[in-house]
Amino acid sequence: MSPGRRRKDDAGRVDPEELRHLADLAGLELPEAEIGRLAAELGVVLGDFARIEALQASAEALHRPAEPSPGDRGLEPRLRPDAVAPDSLSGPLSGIAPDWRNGFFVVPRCRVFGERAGQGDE
Amino acid sequence: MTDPLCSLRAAHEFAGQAPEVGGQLLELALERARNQESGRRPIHAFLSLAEPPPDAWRAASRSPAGSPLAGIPVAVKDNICTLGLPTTCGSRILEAYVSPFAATAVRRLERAGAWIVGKTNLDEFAMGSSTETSAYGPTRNPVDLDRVPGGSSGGSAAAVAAGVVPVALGSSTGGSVRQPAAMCGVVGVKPTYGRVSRYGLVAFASSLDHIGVFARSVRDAAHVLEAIAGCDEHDATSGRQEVPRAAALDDVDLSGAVIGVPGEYLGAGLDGRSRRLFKRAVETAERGGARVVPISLPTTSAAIACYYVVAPAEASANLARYDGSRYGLRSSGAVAYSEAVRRTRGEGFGDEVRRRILLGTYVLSAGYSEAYYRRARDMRGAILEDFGRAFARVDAVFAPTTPTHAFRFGEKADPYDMYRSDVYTVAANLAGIPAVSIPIGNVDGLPVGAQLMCGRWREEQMLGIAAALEELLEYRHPLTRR
Repeated sequence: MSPGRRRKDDAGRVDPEELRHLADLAGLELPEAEIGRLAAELGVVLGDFARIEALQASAEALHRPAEPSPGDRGLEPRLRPDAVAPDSLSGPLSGIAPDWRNGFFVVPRCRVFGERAGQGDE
Repeated sequence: MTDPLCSLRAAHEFAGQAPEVGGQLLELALERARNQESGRRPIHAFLSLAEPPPDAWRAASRSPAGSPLAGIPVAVKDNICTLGLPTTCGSRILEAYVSPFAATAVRRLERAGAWIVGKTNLDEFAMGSSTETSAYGPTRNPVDLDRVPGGSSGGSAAAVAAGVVPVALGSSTGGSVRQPAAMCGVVGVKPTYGRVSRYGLVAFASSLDHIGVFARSVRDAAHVLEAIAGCDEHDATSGRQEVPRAAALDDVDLSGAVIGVPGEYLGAGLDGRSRRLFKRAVETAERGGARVVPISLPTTSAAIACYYVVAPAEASANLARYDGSRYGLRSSGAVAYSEAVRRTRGEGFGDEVRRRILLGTYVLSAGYSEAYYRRARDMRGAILEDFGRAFARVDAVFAPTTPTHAFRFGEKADPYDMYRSDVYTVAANLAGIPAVSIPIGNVDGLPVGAQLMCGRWREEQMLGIAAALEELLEYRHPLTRR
């Protein structure tokens, strides 16, 4: 799916390639045989969204401004790219360890078990 | 003798003053639950049942004196966390998952002396309108075993309709309490958003999720709501408003009430015989002293489309946590973590959940969020304003709960057809206003419901009007013995 703006004539259309990309983004394994059906089903639901567009055309039905009010400017959500983030666990564990010796994570010593036994803070 | 499990009053009459009878009520409810699970065509309202301790009646005797829920067996939808019983959400991905904590609503019920009988079946992660999407098989409507009980809280509605328990908890994101209540011929209350803590309710769409109540009467539902409502430090969206009192329903009538009927709910999609029953209910309200006026809610036709953008968007984020590393199912055989996640989610989620996750991912993606999610969010504001204008004129809005009575299994195989089942209920969830469905009659022996909606935090007023109308309608449930 290209991260451009949706064109009017695209309303309610999801092609199989888009659906595969969505499945990647959502972390879902989908059988190839289901791709076409799911794409068509999503298209029907999204197509109904045209109702909202029709209602939005009516100033009586929708009283909210389409543009952010001056106070909201700069507060609009910034979206990250539609890309699957690299899997941080796919490389060796030593790569994400703060320190690594002989196959073990090395972390700062906090306290020895029993040091504060009975103190009631944990 | 009156069935002791048909109402809170009957249960207390059965119990009398003897504390051990509290245990007997629990045993009776469990026996009925086991009976309806067995046989050739089980109702399958429950996914798990409690094991009562041998001295259950002793614990019952410790119930708070005078509590209307003391010793009362209650069923809880399986997406509400309980200690000691699984919370599966009707999904393979949470098979055998047992929560380490109980939902606030459950703790409050138990504190009031109620017993949790078991966990009830639901559409997977509450996504559905028929209970057919449960990974553990569908629930049958006790009124007609060939038909669905509605959904997603179909198990709770069926358990109350079948007389297993007098009251039950459900959840509503788009109508999942009122719709099954209407289809099973019982009362279903969806409170104001924030009235009942969502702590321990497994998140589907957090801005739309509510815990609701099923009962055989408005008064019984009001007692449960009073017990579970109120601010909770574990849910920042719970309100500090005064809890609605069941006692406020004593001696209510309809005189002086102004009730609005929106023309948009009476369109071509409404079944003709249901329309006639609704008209009769309107006439009954007028005879009872209410002034009924026509109103308009112009955004009604866009509510379903708006809902099916907002709810999947939130669901796709909420369900991202089920990755096989923390809860339930974990697919075996994957080498890389990301592959394990994809496989686990592909195997663990059913068709409807996958469809909604994909839909949510689509409408939130960078290229489409402006066109879909932002517009749906704006439309949600317009729906709220619609109701605001209506409640400036009327005390309550009265409308059919569902377009048709309970449908047959498999009848709505097209997902979009199924989504339309909630056409009259989603708007109240989007607006966060309270709503209650009451049965108004039967068509071909199948229950039909109508709903009352009021302004935010006005449950006392809403339930008062509903109780008064319920009394005048004298509804007879199809399973009531003559």
